[in-house]
Amino acid sequence: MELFSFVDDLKRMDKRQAIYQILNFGMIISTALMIWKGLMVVTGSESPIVVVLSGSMEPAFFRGDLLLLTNYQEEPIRAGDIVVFRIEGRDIPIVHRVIKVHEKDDGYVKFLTKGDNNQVDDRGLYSPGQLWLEKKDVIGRARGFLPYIGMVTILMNDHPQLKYLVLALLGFFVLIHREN
Amino acid sequence: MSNTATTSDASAKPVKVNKWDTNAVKNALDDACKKYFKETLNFTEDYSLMDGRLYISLFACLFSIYALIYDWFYPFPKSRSILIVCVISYFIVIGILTLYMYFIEHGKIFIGKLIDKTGLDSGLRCTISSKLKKYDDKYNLTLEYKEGTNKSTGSSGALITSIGNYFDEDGVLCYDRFTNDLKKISDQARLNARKAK
Repeated sequence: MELFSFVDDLKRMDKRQAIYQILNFGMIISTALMIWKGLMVVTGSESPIVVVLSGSMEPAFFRGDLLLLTNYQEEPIRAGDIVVFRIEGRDIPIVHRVIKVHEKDDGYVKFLTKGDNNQVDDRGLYSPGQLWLEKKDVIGRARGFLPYIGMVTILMNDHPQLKYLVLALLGFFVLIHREN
Repeated sequence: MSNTATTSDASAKPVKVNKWDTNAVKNALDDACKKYFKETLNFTEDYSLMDGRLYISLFACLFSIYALIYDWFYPFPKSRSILIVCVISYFIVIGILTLYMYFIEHGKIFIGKLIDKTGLDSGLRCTISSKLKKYDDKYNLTLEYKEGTNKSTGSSGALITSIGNYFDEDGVLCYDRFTNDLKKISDQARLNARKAK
């Protein structure tokens, strides 16, 4: 069968070629990793690209949109900015708009957020007893967006088998394909 | 056409590739050429070029692994400077690898040495490079012979044929036809090397 001709290709590979295939695979993964880390450093945010998971910011952002964030500490947070923040103790980042800001002379800032499509502000989402967010909770501010692309991530997170299948297939083809 | 290869090694099965995939075809021809030179002409392969490539790739991967581990133990803002160093170094090493593969390797598929057991000839070095353009059918094979210590003498032979000469309709490599042509140019080149000496 034509499909399994690569098995013969594999048998003909000598030891060094096999090591190179593995290193090639490692380099592809490393390139993706280094680009991600590079983005982290350039934007100053620990997660420079996030996917919008809920419809709470419609019609600005829909579920499945990809957001590019920056987290430059020098730029002040102002009412109207769209921030991505994480509530203490929870994993999932939330994308909402800042509606109230209080600033002290020494630079201490606290702010309140609300989703454009929500009826009430986010105090219901914050930890019990927490009324305001601080700079340390912020992952970044939304600077750019790509519509629809994040649906792939949402799909793969809802169906982990799909994610493992895609990764396994990609890894398999990279390891097998001999380009030289 | 029966391919009764009398070699008793494991790859005695005839090599079959997808004849429309120029990459697989080139790899098959390169492998057959290396096999001929190693088994029939008794050259010993010099792996230093390939090893160089492997070491540079390993070096690049080490940078990325280090960045990964460091960032795992000291989450983002603390690891910023290390990340900058690792990312920049990684891309520099990848650049070096690309330059290495393009300029230094440049299509060489085999470097071999023929050590004469009688000790009369100082070793004969052979460098083979091959080229097959993406959707082309002309396979370029270049042999370069250098006799021992005298670097100035040397000869080369070249073979430019259509891959259609060596593969049948099913994509099976006709090893004997290929080795006949290889024998012709290698003998010719070695003759020239002897004459020039």
